[in-house]
Amino acid sequence: MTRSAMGRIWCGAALIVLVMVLAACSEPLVEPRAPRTPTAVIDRYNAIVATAEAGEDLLARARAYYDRGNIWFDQQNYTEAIADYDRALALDPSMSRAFHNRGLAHAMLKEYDAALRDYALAIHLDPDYRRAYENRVRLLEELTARTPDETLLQQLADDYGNLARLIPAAEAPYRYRQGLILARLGDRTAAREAFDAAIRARPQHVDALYERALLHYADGDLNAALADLDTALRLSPRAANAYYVRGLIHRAQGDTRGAIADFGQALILQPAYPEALIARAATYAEQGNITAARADLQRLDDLQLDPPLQQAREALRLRIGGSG
Amino acid sequence: MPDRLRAWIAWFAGVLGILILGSGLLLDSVMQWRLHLLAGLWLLSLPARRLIGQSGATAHRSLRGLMLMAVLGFAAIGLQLMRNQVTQSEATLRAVASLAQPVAAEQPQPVFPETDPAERTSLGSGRTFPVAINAGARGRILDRNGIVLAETVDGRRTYPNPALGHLIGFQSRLYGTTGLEARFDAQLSGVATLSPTAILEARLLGSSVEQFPADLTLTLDSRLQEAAQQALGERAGAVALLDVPTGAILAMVTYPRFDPNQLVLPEPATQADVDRVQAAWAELNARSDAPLLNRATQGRYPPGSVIKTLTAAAALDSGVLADPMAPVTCPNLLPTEAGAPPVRNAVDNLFRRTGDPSDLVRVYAFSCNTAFAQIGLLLGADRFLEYARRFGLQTVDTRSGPPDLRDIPAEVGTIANEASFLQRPAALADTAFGQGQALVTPLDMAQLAASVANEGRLMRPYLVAEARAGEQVIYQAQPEPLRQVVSPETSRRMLDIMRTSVEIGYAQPIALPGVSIGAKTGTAETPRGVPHSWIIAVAPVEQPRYAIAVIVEYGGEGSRSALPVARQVLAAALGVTP
Repeated sequence: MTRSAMGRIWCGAALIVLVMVLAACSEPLVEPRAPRTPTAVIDRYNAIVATAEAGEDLLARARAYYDRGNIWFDQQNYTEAIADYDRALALDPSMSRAFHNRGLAHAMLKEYDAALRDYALAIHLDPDYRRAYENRVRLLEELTARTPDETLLQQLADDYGNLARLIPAAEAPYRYRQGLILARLGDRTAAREAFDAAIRARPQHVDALYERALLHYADGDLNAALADLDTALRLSPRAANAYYVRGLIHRAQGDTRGAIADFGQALILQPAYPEALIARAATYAEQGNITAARADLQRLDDLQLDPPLQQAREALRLRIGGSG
Repeated sequence: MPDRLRAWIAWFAGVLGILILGSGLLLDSVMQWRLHLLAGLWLLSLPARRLIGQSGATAHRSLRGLMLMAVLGFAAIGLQLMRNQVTQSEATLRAVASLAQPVAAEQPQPVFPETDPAERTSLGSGRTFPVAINAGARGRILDRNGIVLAETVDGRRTYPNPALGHLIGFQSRLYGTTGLEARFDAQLSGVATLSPTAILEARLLGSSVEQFPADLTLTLDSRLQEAAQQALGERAGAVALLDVPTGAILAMVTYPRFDPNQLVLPEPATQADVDRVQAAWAELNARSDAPLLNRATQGRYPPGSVIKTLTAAAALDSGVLADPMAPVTCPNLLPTEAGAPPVRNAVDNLFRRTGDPSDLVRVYAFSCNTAFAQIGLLLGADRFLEYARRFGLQTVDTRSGPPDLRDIPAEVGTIANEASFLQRPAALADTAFGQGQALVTPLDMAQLAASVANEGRLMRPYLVAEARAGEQVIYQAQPEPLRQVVSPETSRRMLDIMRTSVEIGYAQPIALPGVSIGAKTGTAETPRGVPHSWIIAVAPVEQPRYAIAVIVEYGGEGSRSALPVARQVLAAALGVTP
């Protein structure tokens, strides 16, 4: 091997190493999230608190406690943070932000009742305190997902309403969420008003249109339900569940052909759609088309169903026959 | 190339390399930046290599080349780090800024990610409501007169008549559901009244689902059932009483049997209750007399001489015998084939009773084996098998389909293990008078009698007449003719033959005052030596309403054990004092 060849090999190897080093260096130097305050910072705030405690200005002292509480909070020392917020609030009970931050600290410690109490006080002091609403909504969503307490759900719906009022740019999504919670509470009139507001704020809000259609359907106003679903399907022609629900409404109106067409479209878009299969089979059976009904039943047998759908399938099987 | 030109090119490359690297610092794309970096460094290396030159010792040149590569490498890393400071300046600024405003700073505007509605494949929250269906309620089971046979009291299933476990079954939290409780579970629980789309709507909208448990009304008559139970007593065996025109089962008794109440746990149950039920279940399964077996539908027995009814009907219907008075002999012995023992009668010189020559009426009445062996041979295997199939008996190797009775577990009777068995004359002769390989259930034999009595039409037997949820009838059994087994003319002739059997033959003791009964006794040989006792009967012969089959295991001759049972049950059915 000649020297020049050896040199080329060395150059190639060096180039590869260089590329690897460069690749390693291309990682971000700064993490996307804000870093925590350095522990040493607390010394500075201790000094500020000491100075404030030496002075006569109680509000300045409260402010110093509050600021140090924020640092403790940032360092995830929630117990110390709560202690400082307590001191601040004892001196100045009008500090809505101290109530809010203490609520947040309680929430981090999973002391949910205390958290909700503090959020309520913060909002009482500042009814337009957006951040308090947002954090309370986050907590209420978590709590109601575990236990659907009606009082908490009502609070959640009210908070979404307040957020929609406070943030006009986000009115549609907040009103939509408010509508969902109200529907969950069974207050269909209020839920419909919330969806109305969401659709007014954003006419192409297909989720609100769909949910409002469900409310109309539950109330027996089938034409209004169909109108909403037609609009939603014009905007979202690939939404299988909207076709399925429209099929159910057509069926309830006695339009079995329209129902079967909609169930069929839902099944084209989502072939393993058990609800649409059950509904179509039941409609076929009512038409007397037992062969088609049994074919859908056979497709259902290949799907994993939850208990209510299993019951629906067995009820269907009893109606149209077929092995089980 | 002149040396001066090379120098210009090298320095031009160096300047170009610096420009490329400078412009690359502002690029967003990492790949493009790397290309810039490599190209720029290569261009920069050109003037550097020129400076190193070609002169000097090889070792010196290599060292200088290595140093050049190290310089360029560090330059590359330095440039990369510098670029990061430019491209990630915002993140750095955010991090630094946050030091001054830890938690009190206002949040940015909320961001709700939005998808183009046209791309959406599902709308709404996707929530579903729990579907609440009351599974606690369960309908009652009633006999044909409305007498309660099963009901739920305080959440516990109870069976007021404990002798019907083999029909009604049980609903046990420990051992599941059996019998009619299982077969009609959908009706009893109300699932049958559920609308599949109502369930879908309830799931979607949170609406309620209506479920109506239905009461089952059976064809069973508790009075006749009780009469049959008493008549059979505590002897192993079974009774099946059918309504001739419809095939409805009026009474069905089996013994030994079990009390379904002992398998049902109270609500709530204690550990002692569980222990008690488990002990009862273990005891029932351990017993050698199989109390869980419904002998009326699942017990398979050799038919003995009751099968002569099939042979006689086949002979008349096929024209092998022109009429019941056609001459038939009843010799003491009938050789069938070389090497096989001859057919012999149960008693010697039977021809003194039947006459010699005799006729079908008399050989049937006195159950002459040799006569029926001859008739069987005259019929031939294929024709005999065809009639057996019409009556619902098949060969094991060609058996297909479920039993005729669908309401509770039942077995299919068989005439032979394989069709070729009957190709042997001795086997055909034996089978035709009641030996051979045939195994039948008491229900099979009750159907045989009923079809002969029903103008030759075999009806599907059934136990459940209807299921009613409130005012709504959700199940209604319709009498279902399965097939025409023999012609009405053959049926009429067979009824006469069976009546004569009671008038002059071995079945005489079954006679009841004021009623004409047709019957055939049977004595089925068993390996134990003591035969099973059989009888089939129909009444009244003029307009048959009842068909009955009775077997008493190891009961001896048919007229001794089974006949009195049938007589007692028919007396109860016909309202006659025996």
